[in-house]
Amino acid sequence: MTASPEPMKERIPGLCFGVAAAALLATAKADLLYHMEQFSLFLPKREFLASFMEQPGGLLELVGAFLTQFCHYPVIGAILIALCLWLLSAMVQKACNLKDGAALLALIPAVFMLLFIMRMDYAVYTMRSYGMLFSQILGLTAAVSLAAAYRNCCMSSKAGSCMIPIISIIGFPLIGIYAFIACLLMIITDDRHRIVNIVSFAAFTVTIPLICAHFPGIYDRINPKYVFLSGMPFLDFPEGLFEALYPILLGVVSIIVLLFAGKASWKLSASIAAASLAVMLALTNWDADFRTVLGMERAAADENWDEVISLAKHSKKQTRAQVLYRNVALFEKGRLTEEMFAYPYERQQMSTSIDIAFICAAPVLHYCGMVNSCDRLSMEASASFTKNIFYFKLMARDALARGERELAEKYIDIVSCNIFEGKWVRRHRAFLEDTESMRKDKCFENILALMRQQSTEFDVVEPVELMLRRNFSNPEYVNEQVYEWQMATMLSWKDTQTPIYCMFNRQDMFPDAHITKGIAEAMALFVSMNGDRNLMVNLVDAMQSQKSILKKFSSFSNDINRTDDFQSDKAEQYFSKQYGRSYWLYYYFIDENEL
Amino acid sequence: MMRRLTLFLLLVSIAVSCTRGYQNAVPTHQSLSIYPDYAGTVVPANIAPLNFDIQNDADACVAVFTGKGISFSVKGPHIRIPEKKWKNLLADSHGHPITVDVYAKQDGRWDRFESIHIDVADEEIDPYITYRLIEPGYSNYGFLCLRQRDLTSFEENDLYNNEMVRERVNQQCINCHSFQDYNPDIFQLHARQTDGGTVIVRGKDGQKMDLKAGDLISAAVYPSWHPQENLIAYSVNATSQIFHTRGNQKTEVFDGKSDLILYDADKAEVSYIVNDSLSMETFPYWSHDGRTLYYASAYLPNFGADSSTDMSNLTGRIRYDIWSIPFDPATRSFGQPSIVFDASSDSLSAVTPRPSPDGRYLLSGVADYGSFHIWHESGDIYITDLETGETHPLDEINSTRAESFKCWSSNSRWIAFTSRREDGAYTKLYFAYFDKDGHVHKPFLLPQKDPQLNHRICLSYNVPEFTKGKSSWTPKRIASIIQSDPDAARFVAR
Repeated sequence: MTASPEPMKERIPGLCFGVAAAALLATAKADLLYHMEQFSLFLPKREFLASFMEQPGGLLELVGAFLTQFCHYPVIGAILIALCLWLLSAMVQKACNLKDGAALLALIPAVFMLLFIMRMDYAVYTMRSYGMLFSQILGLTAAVSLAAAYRNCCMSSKAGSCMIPIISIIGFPLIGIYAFIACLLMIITDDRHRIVNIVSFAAFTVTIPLICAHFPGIYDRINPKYVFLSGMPFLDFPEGLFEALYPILLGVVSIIVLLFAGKASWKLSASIAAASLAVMLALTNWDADFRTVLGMERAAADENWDEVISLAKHSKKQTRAQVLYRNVALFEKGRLTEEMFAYPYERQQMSTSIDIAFICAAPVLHYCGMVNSCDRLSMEASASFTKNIFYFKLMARDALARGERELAEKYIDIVSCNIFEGKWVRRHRAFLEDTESMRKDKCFENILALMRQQSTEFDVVEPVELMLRRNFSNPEYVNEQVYEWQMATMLSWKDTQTPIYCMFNRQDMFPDAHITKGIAEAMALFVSMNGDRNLMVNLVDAMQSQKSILKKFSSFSNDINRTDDFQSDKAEQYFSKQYGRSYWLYYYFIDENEL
Repeated sequence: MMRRLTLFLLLVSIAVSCTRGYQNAVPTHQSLSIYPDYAGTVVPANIAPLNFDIQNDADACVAVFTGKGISFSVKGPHIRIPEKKWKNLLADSHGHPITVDVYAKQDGRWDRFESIHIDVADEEIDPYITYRLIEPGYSNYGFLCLRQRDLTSFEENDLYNNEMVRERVNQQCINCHSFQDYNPDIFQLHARQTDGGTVIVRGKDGQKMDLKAGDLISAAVYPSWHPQENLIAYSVNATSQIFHTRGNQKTEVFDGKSDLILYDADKAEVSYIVNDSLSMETFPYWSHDGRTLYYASAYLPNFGADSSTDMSNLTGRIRYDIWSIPFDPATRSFGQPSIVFDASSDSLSAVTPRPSPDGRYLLSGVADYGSFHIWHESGDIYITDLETGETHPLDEINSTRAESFKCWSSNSRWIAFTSRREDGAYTKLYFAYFDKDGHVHKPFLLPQKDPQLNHRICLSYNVPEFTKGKSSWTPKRIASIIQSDPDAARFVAR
């Protein structure tokens, strides 16, 4: 049998799609790809590799976990995904024998598999399987490749009738349900052995999973309930399995339909392919908050605080996760109480029911010096979901900050097994060798300084904002870093008494200390509410260099007194226009419960 | 063909030349560093090969093992001892030391480190040990499994794991396995949350029980199966947890209330053993003759509390003592309790009593306060001589970090215990020889085919329990019981 060379014309659409997919992923989903790499793990160790074989279809997860490492550089990750998609479309073309104009239709399953990635949402914080970016594309590609090989090599021979048992027995443990998809495609393709194939298919697709599920000694670590979904990420989507996996289903159905497609004109094929692309783009998750949070997470991982602040500035409606990351970044830049009230106030709910504890609480608590709390949440997430580099890195840093050398070394060793973490590993190994260099590191310097403030001895399970509030509720002056967070949390929660004590306490110790804009505005308001004339005199003394704020507050105060309903939208618009983004607006127009 | 043969011979000669010449090595004063540290330990004659890694820098390494009449060498730095050679060596060395000479080649010169000696005890260890593997998490958990390890080889298998009921949201905790008199086919374990209940396995039969009966404050918690009777002593505990925000101790697990109950597996009845509102009793454990029940008890007025006190404010002051209560198996009645180890008088808290099967000694877990010593850095193992009543810490096996779970082998000559000494977070499983004179020897880490697994593993070893063989029960069989509806136990007043 000689294979006829594929005309160039038939290859071009696939190549164009590959390039477009890579470009789309590398631009619109770069931070998602980076996140998937950080929330994954690949250890070239026997026990780690063997653990994938405990589930049918584990090979897909294993290969996926390996390839996910390359998403550390999202462009490389995007190219790899695009290559897999291109390979899928090429195999579909072969398996479905799509020629001339119909070759364009081979892109449709790849488009749906791309949609599977493009639709990913906050569920990526609570994954229970590895390598999802690649595993499903590779599973479908393997299924179609087997069908294509069958069509080209076995269909006309006697061997055709025994391929379904062979693929079921060997394929199911390796690629799970995709082995049966391959068998299904073979049945549709092959008229000659159809009866035999249908009987084998019915027998093997039922018995093999059932043997795996119920026979002692085989697959002792699977839930029999999900054995027919083996190879698919069936535990990863708390907000609906079908909603998450329907692109894969569409991909499979489209291949089945394409088996009957025969010939189609270029025009018709182009229209259908374009329509599928439009559907893909329409159904893509374009949630700006999700994108911003992922961007902030990536920038924070690089300690690129300017980038976090820049993302916060460009986000019109901020969510809890954004506010937390933004405040950490402002703190690291030494501008927390100076600027934290100068950002857009408008809030929105995060479009997920996943607990924020699994989204951003651990890194936020880490940078706030609450390393025990960070460690707890990291361990909880590691225990509940896939173990990953992200939490191992945080726990290594927590251990370093606490002086737990052996534990830090253990986690750093694990992170070092991943091929693109060399820079991080070198930096943190250096801290391990020379703790003085860690103390001089800007970020660790802050963490170590903040660890000196621990007003509460115990944590309970509560929202991260309340954990911060409890931790920084003690008004005693410890150091500048702690003071910033004390005031930031107290002002956020509109505590009108303690900040006064806290600020004057500091002014007594350091009379020339600078009072930041946020604190100055808050003090003007709180002291005015307090009504104590001596306190006002002291405040005026302390704020000699910020008389303009006092003057502006005087005008604000008069306006507030003249306003009947200052909680109305009209009042908010007026005050926003007159006084800009200030603590006063935050105090009067933002419900702290939204935080 | 000739080129390939030449290449093969070249590779073989390079491999041979790398280790040739160590016989002419000169002694070095450098100290040898191996992981795990098996130097000076006493091991059972049926233990799996003690593979180790040489951590000294060297171009080549060799370890030479010499017994009474057998000697063989293994190339390093990763010393992986062939099982057959190891078994022969142990058989040859009963009651004698094995000498391990380590040679290292550097800059073309072979050095010989000071010899390591490993004594082989006359007494064997029970061939199997069952433990739970769990992340040292707080309130969440993911993968949990009860593993059976053949201590005479590296074979390990699941007795049960919670993957078989794994769901997107609902999880299952499994805990507190307990065997009757080292019998691998008579045991119990608890499942919590998904398909919760207590699995009672007796030979070929198994059933799931709901032991929360009458006015018990909880379902059954810490178990101890009577060595001869179908009776299980349990504690029932109202347990809470809070998390430390500072320091190297991470969490505090404590009881607000606790009592002791007896479950009669033949009649499916539960009854109180001790139910004192002014004390918290927990961690029951039967003596091997089944005539005494040991347990830990905290007397609330000792730390200014009563039955209505919120214990979360007193966690650092709660201290337990070890008590015993006589039991008559014929009448199934208990006598008057008496104190065995008055730890609280020394500002210590003693829990988890474990009497030796020969009835002479009692191990207990001791820390500054509290009952959950796996999270207490001060956690140590103490021993009480039940003949003299003297108690002292087992300094030979304690470390500066938490020692927690422990158990005796059926011949009372081996102690298995868990410790966080390596990294402070993950408990590892250790064994120590306890000789006839009551001396404990240097402990050794659970042997692994690849010893680095002990370093890499991100799971803790919990509740080690020896058995005399491998359980015939499989995870799928236990799962079928766990997924069935539980039978309710009946509460009876005594």
